[in-house]
Amino acid sequence: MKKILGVTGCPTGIAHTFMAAEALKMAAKELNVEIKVETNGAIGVEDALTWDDIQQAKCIIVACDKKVDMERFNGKPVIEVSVAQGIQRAKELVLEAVSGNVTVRGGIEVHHHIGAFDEKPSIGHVIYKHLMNGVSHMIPFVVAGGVLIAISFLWGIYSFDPNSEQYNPTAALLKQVGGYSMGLMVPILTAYIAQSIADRPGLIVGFVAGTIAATTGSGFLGGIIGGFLAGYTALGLVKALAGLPKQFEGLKSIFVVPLISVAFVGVIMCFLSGPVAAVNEYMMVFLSNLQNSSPILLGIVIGCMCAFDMGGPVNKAAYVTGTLLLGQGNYYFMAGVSAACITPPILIAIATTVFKNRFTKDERAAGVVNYILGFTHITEGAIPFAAKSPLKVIPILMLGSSIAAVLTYLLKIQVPAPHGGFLILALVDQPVAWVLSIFIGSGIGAVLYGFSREKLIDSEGDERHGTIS
Amino acid sequence: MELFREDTIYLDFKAQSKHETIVKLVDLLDQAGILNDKNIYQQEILAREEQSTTGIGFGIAIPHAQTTAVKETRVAFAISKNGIDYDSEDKTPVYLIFMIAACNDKADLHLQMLAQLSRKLIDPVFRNRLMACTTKKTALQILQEIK
Repeated sequence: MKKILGVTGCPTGIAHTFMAAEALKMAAKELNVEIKVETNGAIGVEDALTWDDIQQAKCIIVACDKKVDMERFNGKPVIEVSVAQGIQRAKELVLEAVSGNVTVRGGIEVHHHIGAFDEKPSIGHVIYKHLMNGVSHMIPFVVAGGVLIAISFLWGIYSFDPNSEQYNPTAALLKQVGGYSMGLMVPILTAYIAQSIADRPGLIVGFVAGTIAATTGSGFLGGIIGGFLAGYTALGLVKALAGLPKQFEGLKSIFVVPLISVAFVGVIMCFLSGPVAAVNEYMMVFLSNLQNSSPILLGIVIGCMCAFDMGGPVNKAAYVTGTLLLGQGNYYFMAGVSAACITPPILIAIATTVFKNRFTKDERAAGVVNYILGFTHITEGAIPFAAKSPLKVIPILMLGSSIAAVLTYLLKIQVPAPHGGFLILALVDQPVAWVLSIFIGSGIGAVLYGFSREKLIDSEGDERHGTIS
Repeated sequence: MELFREDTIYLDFKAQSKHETIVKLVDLLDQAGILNDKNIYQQEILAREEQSTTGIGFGIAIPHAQTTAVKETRVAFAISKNGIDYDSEDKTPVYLIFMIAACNDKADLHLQMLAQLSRKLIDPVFRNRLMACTTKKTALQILQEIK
C-alpha cells in the first residue's frame, strides 16, 4: 500500500491544524491510501513523523501556515500548500501525492537523524542531541562576546587596563560587554542541555547548575555534567509528581519542582566543583601543552575533525574546544581550528576555478560562492561537493585542513575571535602567515581534488596536460 | 467548565456580513461573562481573519483566538438558515459558525477538545446533524458528543 505523510499547522494551532489533518485522513481513507499526519498545534506536536516514516513515505504533504522543520524532507517529494488548501483540496492533494509527479525537495539529505522525529534513538544520539542543544544556544553568546573582546584588542592587548599606556575607554567598554557575553557561556550551555532533557523545569535548575559551574571553576566539564544532572533530576521529579491532582499543577511548576530540584542539584554541584575543576584544569593544560609539544599531531587531529563532517558533531567538538580555550585566554588553539574550518570551502573554490573543464557550469557557480563562504568561516559550503562522492572528497578535505592547521600551529599564529573568517583578519597577529597557511592547505587539496575528477566531455575548457599518476 | 453551553448557542442567527457576524458573536460571549476584555478579544479575532479567512469552506467558519482576554475557554455556536457571506475560501455562504475563545493556558485541557471539534467538523454527517437542529438542547447534545 502506498504510504504518504502529512504535516499540518496554523498560527493559532487550535482549529485549522486539526481540520486539515482530519480532511487529509478522510481523503486518504476514501482513496485507500495509508497516511500519517503530524499536527503542529497549540498543544504541541502530535503524531510526530519518525525517521522511518519519512524514509518509507512516497510523498509528504505539508499544509502549514507556520514554520515547521522542512530539512528532514530533503530528497523526498514534497507538496507545500496553505493549511486552508489542506482542508479544501484534501482529496486532490492525496491524488497528487500518489501520482508520482511531485517535485523532489532539494537540499542535502539529512542522514544523521537527530531531533524530534526519532522514535527510539540510541543513547549516544540522545546524549548528542541534548549536548548540541546546549552548544547551539551557547555559540552565539561566544561569537558575540569573543568578537567584541577581539575588537578591543585593536587598541592593543592591554587597552582595557587603566594602568597601561594602551588604555582606551572605548576598548575597555567593549571588552567588558564582550566579557559579560562570554561569561554566560557555561550557564547557557548547562541550562539548554537541561532544557533539551526536561523542558522548562530543566531550564530553571540548569541555569542554577551552570552558574555554579561557571563561578566555582569547574567550567565546561562541570557545565556538561550539571546540564545532564539538572535535566534528568527535573525530568524525574516531574514524573514522580505526575500523580498529583490537577489543582496542584500551578503550585508544582512554580514552587515544588524548582525548589526541590535546585536544592538537590545545587548542593551536588557545589560538592562536585572541587574535583571537576581539577579535571577541567588538567584537560585545558593538556591541550595547551599538546599545541606546544606536538603541534603537528594536534594540527592533524584538528584538521581531520573539522573537515570530517563540516559543521557536524565532530567539527563542533573541535570548534567548541577552541572557543572554550579562547574563553581562558588561549588564542593559539582557535587559530588552527579556524584555519581548518575555513579550508574546505576554499579548497573547493580553488579546484573549481583551476580545473574548469572538470566541473559542470552549476558546480563552478557554486564554487565561486564557496570563496565567500570560506572567507567567512562557513565550512558547510563544501558539503554539497563532499556529498557527491564522500569517500573521495572528505579525505582530501581532511588533508587540506590538516595542512592548514599544522602550519598555523607551527607558526604559533594567534586568532582571538571565535568566528568571522577573514573578516576578523585585522585581529590576527600574523594575518599574512595565517592566510598563507590556509591557502597552502587549500591549494594542495584543490590540486588533488581536481585530478580526482573526470574531465567533462562537453566542456568548453582547455585540455590540460599532465596528470598525477 | 463546559466547552459549549446553551447561553452561547444562537439558533436562527442572522447577519449581513462577516464583520457583523463577528461583532454579534463576540457580544454573545461577552454577555455570558467569558471575556475579560471584549475589545482585545475582538481585535485578536479580526487579526486572525486578516491572516486568512477562517471560513474554510463546507459552509463552516471558525473564527478563533487564544488570548488572556478570555477568562475560560468556550465556543459560541451559531446556525444561520439563510447563510452568510463570510468571504469564505470557496466563496460559498456560511451556515455554521463556531467562535472559539481559548484562554491563554498551554496546559488547558480544552485545547484537546477543540482539536477534536475541528476534526469532527470535516465529517459531513456531523455537519448535517447540526444543521438540522431546531432546539438549543439538541444542538448541545450533538456538540457534547465531542470528547
